[in-house]
Amino acid sequence: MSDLEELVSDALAGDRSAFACLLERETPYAYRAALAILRSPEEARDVVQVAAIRAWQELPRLQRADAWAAWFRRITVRQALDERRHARHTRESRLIDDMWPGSTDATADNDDAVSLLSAFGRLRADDRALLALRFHLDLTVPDVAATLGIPVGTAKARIHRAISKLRTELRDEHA
Amino acid sequence: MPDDDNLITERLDRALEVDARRNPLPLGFATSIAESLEDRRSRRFSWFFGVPAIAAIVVLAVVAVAFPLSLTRPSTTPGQGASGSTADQPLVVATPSSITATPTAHVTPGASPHALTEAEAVEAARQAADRPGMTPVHVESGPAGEVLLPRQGFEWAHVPSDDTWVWLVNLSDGGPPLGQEGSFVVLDFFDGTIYGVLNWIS
Repeated sequence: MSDLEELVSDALAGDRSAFACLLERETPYAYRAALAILRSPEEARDVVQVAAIRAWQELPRLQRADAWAAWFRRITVRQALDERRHARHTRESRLIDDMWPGSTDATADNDDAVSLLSAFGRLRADDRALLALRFHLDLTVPDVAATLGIPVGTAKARIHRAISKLRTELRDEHA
Repeated sequence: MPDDDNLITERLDRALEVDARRNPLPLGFATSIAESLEDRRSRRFSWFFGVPAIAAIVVLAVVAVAFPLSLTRPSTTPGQGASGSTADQPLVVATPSSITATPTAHVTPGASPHALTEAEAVEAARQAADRPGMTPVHVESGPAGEVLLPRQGFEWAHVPSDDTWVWLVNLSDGGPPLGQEGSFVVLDFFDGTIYGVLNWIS
């Protein structure tokens, strides 16, 4: 039995420390995805926490231990997108005005990162999810599609469109 | 991908990296979450009874399928045997006993010509789950105390006793690991009475 299988097995049996080890492995990546989607570290941490609770409760449904990482990532990303959809009317306009409150240091010495994140923050949450999963977490297109629950072809097309939108937003930023 | 696209996505990766480093997760974040988790079994119990409307819809669907199925098959306990067709004399009376219960079979002494074969159990599971095209990825039989009890999360299967022999069938649509769908079905080893169906998605 592999280390991962043992941890999943122990967590299934109710061992919280084993579950903590599983979380330790994946929360950094899940958090990065949530942060990219939500553009708020506080909300991203909340989402990861909710995702962890859901994962604990639904762990008996995990079919294979080696799917743990992808499974937890999917729960987190979908939770983040749900959170953004529910909050759209109350928060999206503020995000557009203020970009990503609290998430990025205004005095950042990396101007490129600031302008790029500014443009990125104006994309739709779905587009941010696609780009972050593909180019920041370095997932394959099929894995991106599986995470978001969409066909591979659709994911590919949407990623392409999202890059175009980002380029347009960057151009506007510089203009 | 055009060079221009590569350039912009590499810049995005670096920018998101900077952002993540500036806003790291607190130390011990995962451990603190794990320590605050409720017991899974009790939480599941409250979930089942805390969302009665959803549970009622699911269970009514299960009952609707399981009721006619249970009427067409005889019931017995291990060791009780009789021969001959029972197609014209339904020996099982199935009654939904509560909002989360599946039909419960009343044993008729002397009934049942033989136990269900694995193929019959799988077919009965497909019908009960209303998933005719799905393939079995796991089939196991034995006393409920040995087949179900060691596993967690099978509270939904209302088996009369731990020594009741059951078939546990896990059906899957064979899709990719993520997004794969299927159903666990627990049914009586001898007469196919459906003790519970739980749909899952991975």
